[in-house]
Amino acid sequence: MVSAAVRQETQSARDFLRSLRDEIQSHPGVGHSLLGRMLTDPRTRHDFKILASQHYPLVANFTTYMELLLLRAPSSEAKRWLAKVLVDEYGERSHGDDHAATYRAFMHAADIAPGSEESYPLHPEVVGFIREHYRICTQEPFLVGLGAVGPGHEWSIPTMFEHVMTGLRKAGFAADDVTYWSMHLDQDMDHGAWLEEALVVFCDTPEACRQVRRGALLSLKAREQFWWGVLDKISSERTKTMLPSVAPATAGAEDTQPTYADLRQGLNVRVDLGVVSDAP
Amino acid sequence: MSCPAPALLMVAFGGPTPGCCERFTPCPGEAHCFVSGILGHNPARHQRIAEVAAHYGELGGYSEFNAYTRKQAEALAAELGSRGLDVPTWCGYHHWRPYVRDVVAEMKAAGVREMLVLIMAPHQSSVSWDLYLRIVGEGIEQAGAGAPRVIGVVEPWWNEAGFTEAIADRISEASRREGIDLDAPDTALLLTAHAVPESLSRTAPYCRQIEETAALVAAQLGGPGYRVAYQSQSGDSTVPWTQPMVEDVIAAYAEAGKSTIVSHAIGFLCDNVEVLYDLGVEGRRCAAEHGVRFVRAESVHSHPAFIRMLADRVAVKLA
Repeated sequence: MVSAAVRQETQSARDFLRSLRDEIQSHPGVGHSLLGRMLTDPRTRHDFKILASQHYPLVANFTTYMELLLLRAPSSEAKRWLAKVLVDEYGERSHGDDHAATYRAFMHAADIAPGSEESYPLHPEVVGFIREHYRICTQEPFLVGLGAVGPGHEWSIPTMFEHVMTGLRKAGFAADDVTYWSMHLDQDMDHGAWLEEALVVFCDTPEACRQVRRGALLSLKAREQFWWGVLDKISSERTKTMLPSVAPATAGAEDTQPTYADLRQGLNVRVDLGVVSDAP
Repeated sequence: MSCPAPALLMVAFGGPTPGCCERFTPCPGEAHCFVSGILGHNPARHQRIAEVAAHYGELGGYSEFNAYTRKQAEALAAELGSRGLDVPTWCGYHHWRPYVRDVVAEMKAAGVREMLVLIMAPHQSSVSWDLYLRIVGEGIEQAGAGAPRVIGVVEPWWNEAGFTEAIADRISEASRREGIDLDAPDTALLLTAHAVPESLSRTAPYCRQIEETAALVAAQLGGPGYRVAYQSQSGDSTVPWTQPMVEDVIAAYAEAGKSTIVSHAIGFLCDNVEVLYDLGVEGRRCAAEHGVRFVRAESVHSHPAFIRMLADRVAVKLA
């Protein structure tokens, strides 16, 4: 039998999570104009080639954020949600292909040659997103990390990807080409629901709620910056192909931008396993 | 019908004018549609869309942007005509009718075979310069075979004397009208441009060009002290935008003992809603809160020096 005190705590956790969901849904990282205008702006396969070249590093690193967080999880209960999501990320419900492999299939449909996925110059905001998430998952308290990879991702991705799917359809991609995007509409709904049950347990103090919210908002801030970066790339790159004789405003910017291959070589992530007990 | 001479396509942001766009039922008003066209159809932005649309509402619900741009086009065509250059001039907008894609289709129907593109934004970023070029390209693609070919794009002109002279003249006009001595120790000059996320300013020369424009304007005014500030940042954004903001500079000027601020929006070419509301209403309100008099100088509009400079650059491209 659940005591009244526990019921009250659970209720307040659910209230907090409901308000956090609302806050995430109205965040400008989720409602970025690049996404909102998928319906009205012309969208081409070339736009999605550029988007894919910038988004791939996020996809390819997400599993590692989760694995790092798993190492730092304070209890088996905390590990369980992370592990369930990780199993999906490793390909449990996508015919054995992990999510990065599924994404590469989309990249190839968007005219990125197999083998060249990591060779595109990355906008500084793409690099910033990845570095910020490694920082959050290794240096912030566990619940901040959980807020970032949990609500910050799982509760925002279905909404963002719905918009992307609108653009993909307009650009003429076949359903098989966009499996990565469509499967997230379902899987992340599941992940979000599992997450909510896990978070109800963890969000049992004001400080725990504050940490989860902080993680979600840090992730979404990085996400808003990421979309601005993608918009910057799409605006310039498409112009280059349409009017090759005209120098874009961003001419020369790519000269100093690392590729994902460069970034991987330079990433130095350290995790301190001594902080596993930092959850409140 | 055929038009053998190259035409000029002026591309600008656009502003809402009367006439339902029929995108929403019931019609929420032109300003709402205009702003939602910029921010996108996304429930996450409904509040922000309503806030910005309300600024238009306070100023009558519409924008004079397109009318100002048409006047600039007429003045430019007349200036070119006075030089013996008969250049059919068209205006197309990114965010309102007539959209660039529709204008390109009209140009094709009118028999235009070649066009020169003039981007009506003084400073370059991917969301102005590049995006405007992109929509020209999209318009050409959409118009299909027989669409006018781009024979050139007028070079950017942020540091051209005709542009900075026009700004300096507007500031002098406003100062004379209001009896202000720009060199007085308690008077300050504030030069503003639209804020952009730092994500965009890092990859383009936008801020550098604004600083250069400001320095040239100040030199033409005889070297008064001045500060550059950014305005109209998206209110719900969580990311860093270009700094300092107008409100911060007004506060700093007030703290430094300035009693009068003369402002000019050097990043804008006409008195659109950002200039009239964000600077003219909110900037003035902020200054009043600090006990500072605030004077806004008119935008360049069709200032003869500005139009002559544009004509010079068009003529060079057509030579």
